[in-house]
Amino acid sequence: MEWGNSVAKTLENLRDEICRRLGDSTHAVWTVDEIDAYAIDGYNRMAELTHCFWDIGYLENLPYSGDHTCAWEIDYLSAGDIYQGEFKYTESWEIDYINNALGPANHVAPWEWQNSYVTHQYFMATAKLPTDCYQIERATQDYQEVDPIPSARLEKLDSRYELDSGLVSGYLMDKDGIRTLRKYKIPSSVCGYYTVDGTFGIMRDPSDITSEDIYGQWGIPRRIPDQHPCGPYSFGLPRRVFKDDDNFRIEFFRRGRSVSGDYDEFEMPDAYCKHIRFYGMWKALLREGPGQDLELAKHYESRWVIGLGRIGNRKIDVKSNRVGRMGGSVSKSGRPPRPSLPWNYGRMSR
Amino acid sequence: MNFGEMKAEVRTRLNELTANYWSDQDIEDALNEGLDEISDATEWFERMTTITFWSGRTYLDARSTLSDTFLAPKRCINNQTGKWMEPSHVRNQDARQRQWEKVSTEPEQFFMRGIWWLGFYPKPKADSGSMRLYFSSLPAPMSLDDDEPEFPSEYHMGIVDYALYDLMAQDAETKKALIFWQEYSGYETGLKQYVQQRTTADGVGQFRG
Repeated sequence: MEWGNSVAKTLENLRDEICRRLGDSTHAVWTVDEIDAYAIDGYNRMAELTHCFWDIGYLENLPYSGDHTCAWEIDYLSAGDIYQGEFKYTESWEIDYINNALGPANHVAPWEWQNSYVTHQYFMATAKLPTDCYQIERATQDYQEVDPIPSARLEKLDSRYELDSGLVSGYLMDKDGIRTLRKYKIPSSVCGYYTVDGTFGIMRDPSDITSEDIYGQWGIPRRIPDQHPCGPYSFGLPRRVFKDDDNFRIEFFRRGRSVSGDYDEFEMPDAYCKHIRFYGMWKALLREGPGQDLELAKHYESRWVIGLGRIGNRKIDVKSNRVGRMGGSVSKSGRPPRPSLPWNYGRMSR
Repeated sequence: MNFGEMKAEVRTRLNELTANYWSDQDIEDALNEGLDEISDATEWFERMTTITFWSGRTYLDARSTLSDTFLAPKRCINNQTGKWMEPSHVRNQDARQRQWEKVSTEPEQFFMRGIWWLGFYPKPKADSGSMRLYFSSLPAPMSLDDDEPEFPSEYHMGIVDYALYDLMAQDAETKKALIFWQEYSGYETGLKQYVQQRTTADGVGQFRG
């Protein structure tokens, strides 16, 4: 018997499965929209609770380029324009005159600082996290792990942490906005980066970024040494290429690929989609009205919980398999030993 | 008990010897769902594959390399060095060396990121060499009447009970469904113990054996 190979389920597939098992294939009791909402909710809840989608992203240490001052302007960019950042001011002293402002940015395209047309390079300490990021698992600066630091602690250690530039040795995320990460210190050196010719579409020729031998000559690059395929839509393909040298990288748990239309596929394999089905059935059977079955709803809730537990156990399984080495898998709990004098220490005598 | 016998057993217990209310497809789907569930819960289905190393890649997506029925890695051996790779964690690597991701030579340790990304330390130095990975997976669904699950036949009836639970639940027969679920759960627990205690249950050759 060989291992199986299943095809990713679409929203329509999952909805049909849920409705068939509820005995409501004609949607007489539960509407399509209602079941879809339960399925998508279960999908997102599962990603949030189990941290099953792991990814890598970069918050680059580059001089900040800004080419628009309001988010709505992005819609007016022409084809071929390269989207840069949003900014509100051009010199650092202006921050005290503008509330919640992004910046400073004193140029609109990277070539301006690359060719030394900018007298002062402003780096941004803050960076927006990817919108699908649930939790940062690990962050690195120049390949080295950097720790999160609570702002209350950092302001006692270094009261000028918002002003001073230097090597990034930590980050904080507890005061600059819910999806904003602040690097400590403000980056002072430009990270390694690739210069790629052309501005439109995807990378066709990887010779700009690697001297490795290229296998095949058809289509797009599928795999490039040292590049991780980022994001839910980039299966096997580096979409943007980054260097880690002097760069700030985040490794994070994210939401799964967006699902809303009938033919949108869930990012997870079938074996995990069934837990979403249990979630959908739990919620459908729980709601007031015809079809309500609290006993069966409770059962499906327990299956959902069991499924999440199973996924959680798999995440720690490899670590718990560490045997055959000192201090392997078993953590020593309980009180530390009481202090005592050496055995040959002289006894007190009266 | 093979797939054909399981289908007959389900029909007998449903008191419906020919397809009338439940189609053959309904019963086959329910049985395969049972096989899927007991395999997912117990991870009895263990396989081995050889994976080629890729230069400079610390991480490998197990879904794309091993098919998306992959569940969890068990053990792996580096075919170049002949050494078993040590299960580890990314925090161990951080504690080991500050820029451990820059090191590239023959991989010695492996660890998981999320539930599908397999990481290596050190990362492979070239597009040559391979490792042998032992992992748990989901088996292919049964389709022919002669198909039979590889786990011991004592637990095959669990798949039948699961199918009956699934069909009863679809028919809104909640109480009957939950009874069959209880029956199935017993088989699942038994198989899980069997899988986990295969080595430790062998008392021969041990003191107090």
